[in-house]
Amino acid sequence: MKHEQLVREFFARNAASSLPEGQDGLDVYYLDAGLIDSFGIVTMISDFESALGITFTAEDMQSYEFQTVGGLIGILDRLAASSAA
Amino acid sequence: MTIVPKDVIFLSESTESCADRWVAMNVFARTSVGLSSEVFELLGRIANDPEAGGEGPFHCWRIEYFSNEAGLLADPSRFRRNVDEWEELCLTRAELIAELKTHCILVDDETAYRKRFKPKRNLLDREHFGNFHQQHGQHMALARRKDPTDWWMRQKFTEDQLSVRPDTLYGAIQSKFLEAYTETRISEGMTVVDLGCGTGVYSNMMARRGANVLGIDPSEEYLNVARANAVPGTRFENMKIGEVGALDKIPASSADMIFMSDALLFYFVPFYPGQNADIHTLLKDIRRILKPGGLFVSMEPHGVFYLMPWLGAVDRPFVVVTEYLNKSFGIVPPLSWLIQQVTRTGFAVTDMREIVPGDYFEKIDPRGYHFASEFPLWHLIEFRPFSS
Repeated sequence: MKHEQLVREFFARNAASSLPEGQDGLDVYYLDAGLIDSFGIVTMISDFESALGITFTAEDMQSYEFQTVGGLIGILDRLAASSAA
Repeated sequence: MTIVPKDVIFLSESTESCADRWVAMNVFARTSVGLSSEVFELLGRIANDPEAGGEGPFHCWRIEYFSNEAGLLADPSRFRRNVDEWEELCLTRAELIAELKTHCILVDDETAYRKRFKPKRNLLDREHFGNFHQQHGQHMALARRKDPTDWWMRQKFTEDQLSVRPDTLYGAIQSKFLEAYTETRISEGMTVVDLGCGTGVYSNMMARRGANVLGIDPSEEYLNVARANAVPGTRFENMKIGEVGALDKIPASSADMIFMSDALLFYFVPFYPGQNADIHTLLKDIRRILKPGGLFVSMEPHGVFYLMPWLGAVDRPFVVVTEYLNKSFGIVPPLSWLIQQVTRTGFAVTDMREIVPGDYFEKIDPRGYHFASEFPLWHLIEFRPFSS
């Protein structure tokens, strides 16, 4: 939940339009939907990495999951867990 | 059906110490894999015999990298030249096929593969190859996490930012040529406008020849460097070149010469999405600012050879040109497009040079020297306005 909140807060601050509540929001392809652009991606990566002390790998960023809000939260969960371990 | 697309070429890279080394290069996708002859043989037969070559193990090598990270004028071939640096893989058949597909040496669906040659939709898009700017931006942002502006400065300029790096083709071609060219073209008291002056290195060069130079650039970051290093006779101002009214502060018929280097290409393929730059507006401004009989000098990357892979032996290079009129990777306009855009605004071409590196560069980078000596990487065109 903590990471979902972090992601939702990021999009609330930076997105061109609002992210739907609940599962509908998690299914959004945030780039295709125009919520953020390529410059926004760079900001997003940097924000999450510094907030959570994690580093996205090239594979993370190339993955299908990275492109949806829900998938992104899943990646944050995994990276934060392995960072804490 | 799994096939080797017709876009793939094979190059022998065997050496005395490393025998049986081949490079398979997809010249459209600009992707490569190092192969042994067993894999070469498999590729030759796989379309007719899906089980060709058996189950392995197979030897191949990871050799591909984003070679332009070392510079815009670095070897653009994207495979490691030194076979000792190749990363060896010993793969099962399934792993080998997957590796070859990753690098577009094998494809399952040629129609789907062809559709990949389109602009990237966004920074995360790995499906579409996109143009050079997009590939570079993606690599710098996601793989290297580096600021492209910082990269651009470091790959072109010396650390003190006072001159172009002589150990690059920028220095060996552009600077070397301009040192001689400005000596013949610039005279004491001339008024020059350097449009897209960047960090002002060439503005300073022209001022040292006695010109009064106004350097114009839309980037305050570059202008800060220019102002810090300005020599007497230069002045630097921020103007959004190519936007309507942007150059209105410059009086009509005030310049003997307008100089642009590595700037017109951005009116062909924008540097970033949504870039507001209209070449007709720019050319009308240039026509207005130039004195009658003045000179418009455009020095641009070569419309054919820029960013094309350097192939063949070090001293006997060849190139495979995969696109010219309709570019999906390239970022430089065809020559006819560039010239016609200018001549239609009331200019005539009065001279053209295809520029080669200075001889000193052979010792620094023999491959780059020989390639650029045969296939020019820049041209300079002089235009003069018609009187009416």
